[in-house]
Amino acid sequence: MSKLFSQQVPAPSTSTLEVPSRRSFFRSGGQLTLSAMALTMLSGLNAKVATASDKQTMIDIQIINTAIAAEHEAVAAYQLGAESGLLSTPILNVAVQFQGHHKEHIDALTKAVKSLGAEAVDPLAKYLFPVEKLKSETDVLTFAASLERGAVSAYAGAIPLFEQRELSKAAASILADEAMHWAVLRQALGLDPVPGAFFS
Amino acid sequence: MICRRVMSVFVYCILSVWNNGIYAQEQALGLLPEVQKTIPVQEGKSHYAMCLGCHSPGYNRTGPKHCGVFGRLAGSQEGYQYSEALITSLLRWNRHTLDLFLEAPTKIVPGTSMTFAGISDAGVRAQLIDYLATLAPGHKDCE
Repeated sequence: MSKLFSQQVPAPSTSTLEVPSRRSFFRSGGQLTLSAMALTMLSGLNAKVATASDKQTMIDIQIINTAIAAEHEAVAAYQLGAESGLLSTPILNVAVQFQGHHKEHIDALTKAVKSLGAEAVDPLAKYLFPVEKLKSETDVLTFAASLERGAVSAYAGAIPLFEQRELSKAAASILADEAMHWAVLRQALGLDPVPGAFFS
Repeated sequence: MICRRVMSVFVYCILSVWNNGIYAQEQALGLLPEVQKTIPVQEGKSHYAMCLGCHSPGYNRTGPKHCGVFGRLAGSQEGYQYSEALITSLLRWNRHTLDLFLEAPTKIVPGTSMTFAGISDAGVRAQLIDYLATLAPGHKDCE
């Protein structure tokens, strides 16, 4: 049976608003790109809300909040991996970086929900993970890869449902990030990082 | 002679309908583990990768766990907070209702938290449901 894993979710990162040096920007692989793009995409939402029907707006809010709930869980999962003591330093650094991306997704999605006049869902106090199955770095990477793979499908399935295209664009931007996570994790596992041409 | 033949055909038809009804009920209630275990489910398990962003066979996550889903009343998995829409849907999960829901969740149950456009390929849905049908308590994926 799965054990209960209690997770204290740290405060969202605000470092994305800082302007890095040119060298540190390239060293970080352009980590700011996603959040900047997503926030730009979401910036025009308020004006468009007035034209969206209440019912459709409620659907958009529901979609975003489901995504936020999944992103909170991803943050908790990476925290579990980071604290497991099973990850080598290079893999740990990647895990922490990916966790930071998920926190940025939460920030951007939370802004989107608020722009629609609603509140974002909070993280759960506790998350269930198959802790007893995570006995090696490979186990942790496999677990993380399965979550990222599923996230790609979740965003791919959500994008067509949005009433507002700006939200679809933002979700597609996040999907691309999740897909890169999945590919990197597969590469670390010694698997083909991009095992096909299409994914649903 | 003719009456006997007509009667035998009539009885056969009644029994067939009766048995099919029982089979459908047992299948819906997940009471056919022997039958389910014979279904090749590798493809379905492979498709299940697309569900892993929110679901797991053995524990509740962003979505509810799937072990024992066959025969379960929608919105009744203990320990999971469902949308009001799913709780009041009165759906019971069997092959037919799962097929309808997986094809277009938000159309079958408007207001569901499963904000997913759906799986348009009927073959993929069928294979995925084959796998879900095997997820009875005791299945290794449920641990």
